[in-house]
Amino acid sequence: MTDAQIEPTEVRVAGSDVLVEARDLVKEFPVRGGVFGRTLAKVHAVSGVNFTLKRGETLGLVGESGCGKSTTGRLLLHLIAPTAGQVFFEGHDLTTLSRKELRKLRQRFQIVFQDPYSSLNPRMTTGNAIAEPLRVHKGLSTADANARVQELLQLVGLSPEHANRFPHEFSGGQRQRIGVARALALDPDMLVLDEPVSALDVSIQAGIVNLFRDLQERLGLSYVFIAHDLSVVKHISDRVAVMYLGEIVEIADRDDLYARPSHPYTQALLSAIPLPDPKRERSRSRIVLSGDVPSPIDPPTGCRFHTRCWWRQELEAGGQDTSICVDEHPDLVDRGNGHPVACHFAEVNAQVV
Amino acid sequence: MPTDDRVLLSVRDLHTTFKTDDGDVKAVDGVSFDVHRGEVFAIVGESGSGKSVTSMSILGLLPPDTADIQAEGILWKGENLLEGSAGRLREVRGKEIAMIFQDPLSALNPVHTVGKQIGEMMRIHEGASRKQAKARAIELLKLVGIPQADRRVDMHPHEFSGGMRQRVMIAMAIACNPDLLIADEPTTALDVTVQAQVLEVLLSIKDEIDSAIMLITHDLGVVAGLADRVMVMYAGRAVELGTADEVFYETRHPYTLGLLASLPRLDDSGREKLIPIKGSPPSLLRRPSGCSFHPRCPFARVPGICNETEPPLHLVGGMAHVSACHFAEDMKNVGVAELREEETLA
Repeated sequence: MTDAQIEPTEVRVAGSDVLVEARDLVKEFPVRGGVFGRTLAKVHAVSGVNFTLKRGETLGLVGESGCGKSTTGRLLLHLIAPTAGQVFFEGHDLTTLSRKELRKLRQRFQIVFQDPYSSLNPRMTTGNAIAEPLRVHKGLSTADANARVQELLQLVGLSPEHANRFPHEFSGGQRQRIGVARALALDPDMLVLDEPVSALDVSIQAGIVNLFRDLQERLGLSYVFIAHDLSVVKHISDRVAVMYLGEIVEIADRDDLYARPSHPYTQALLSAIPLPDPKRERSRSRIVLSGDVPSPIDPPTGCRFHTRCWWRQELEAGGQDTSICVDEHPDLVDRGNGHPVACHFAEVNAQVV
Repeated sequence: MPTDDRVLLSVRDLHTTFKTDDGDVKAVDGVSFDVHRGEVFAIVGESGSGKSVTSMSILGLLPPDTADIQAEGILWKGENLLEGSAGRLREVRGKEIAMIFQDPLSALNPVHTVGKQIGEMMRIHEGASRKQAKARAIELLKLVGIPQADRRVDMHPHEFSGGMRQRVMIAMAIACNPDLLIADEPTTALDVTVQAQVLEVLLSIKDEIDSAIMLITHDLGVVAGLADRVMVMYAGRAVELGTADEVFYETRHPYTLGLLASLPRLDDSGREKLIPIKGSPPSLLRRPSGCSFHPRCPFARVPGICNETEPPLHLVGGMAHVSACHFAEDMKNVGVAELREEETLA
């Protein structure tokens, strides 16, 4: 069964191992201007995204700036309301819940941001920052909250005495650990990790990736790991979805996606990543895309990737008619590649890594 | 002093110190290297390793009231730039040595057209007329792969995307056919597919105008794809220097090896455990005794040596492969695989 075809009844069954489902998620942001602030245009940030997240699983959401991956993350947590579509958390449709119900459910899904320096209050000690959700949601006493803070600090690899320090006294990697401890305070089932290691030096980044893996094993967490770096994603994800201009263009199990990338965009993305290996770099052929990502205000017709698609250019040069790419939107379905791909001419290309 | 005519730039024992209220920060602490004609020389390191300060010191771009630059010499084609007048440095800068910065939006002037900014180089350094400058600007924009260059030349920086802006920066840098291009994290702010485009432009330009490139980056992947020789910096010092193949395949410094082992690679299966380097980089106000890397080094098992004596760079192989590790020779049999294995056992 593919992600695009999940039957609606399936997720509503209690005890099902699907934790979250995004169904036909759409988010459009208005572009306002003029004297009266009229809506002049719409930014099509997310356009019809479908996927499921199972318990204990990590879904990697990959793409370049402006592809809608972070917006998708925020929609999952209902931090912003979708223009259309639904998000189900254990079968509850987040878009129809009352604020009170939503607030209660929110304890179970949390987010970790890219830059822990701007997401932590500089005037609050680490201990208070981590205890805040405990007091707000659980009404814990100071003593109980403190005990839990100590426990959480140890869980993320910091020491209990760090509770009395302020964010500026920590290094980037330690600050990210504090962000994780805070997200874990309420014992959530799912974490949305939004570029959690992108701002860190590589030698520190590895420690944080290991921490996420370790926490998942110990606490059975589910992750949505949002990143632009396909090599980091490979080291943490069970499944990977590749996004381009607000749409998922390919989704598959980790091993399948990296061994059998089938969308021309996924292939270009993989081939563009430099390997720390001079000999292989010298012999590697790279797919270099022409032009820039088109504006999400006015996305291209048909397949949104067709304006930059190297594969379409090659097919055309070979005399094939590719007008379908311009005219018809390709659905995200299995086209005989073993996993869903949104390309009319999808073909496996394993040479790109 | 070397008189090798392959040597374009020779930096000898560079010390750059910043005066702060908390004390002196030795951002660069005794770095020496040569850049040869036509080569790509990469300086690799993490935040705070001193790689950018090194390039800024060479070009005299640091504020003189806070930054103190001392060196035996910064020799540009044999001429010591430290002893030259400010006017001479200004002549070299932009014309013979040009720089490409990480963030083109803050390096470009938002109120002037890109054509004017590119042309300015020729007007100042070569006394070109306005008309000549514009014609050459269009030519350069074409060279770096900007479509519709004759129309784009009259646009302002905000009308360009990130990748296009970086191309404009490159066009500006090569306006006077410099002998050396210093590229400081030229693709760090860009998406990976755009990075591939820009790196391709950079390499083709290098051949076109026959210049050398000094590439400053934290990305070992970019280094592997581009560099002929590599210098690895840690806490303001060079810890390993050699050809790209030597540094990647015959690594002789634990820090370089640590960087390689912590990197998630696209050609891994994804199941490997990544090995972080323990701890965090030292404060440059209070540098550790002996080898600066010893508190984080998985091999520093010899008390009285690693933590007491500062290891000098010494020849460890090849023609000029040097490492600043007391036990560099012992690293012959240690690679990323062995490091991972050891970690798994522990």
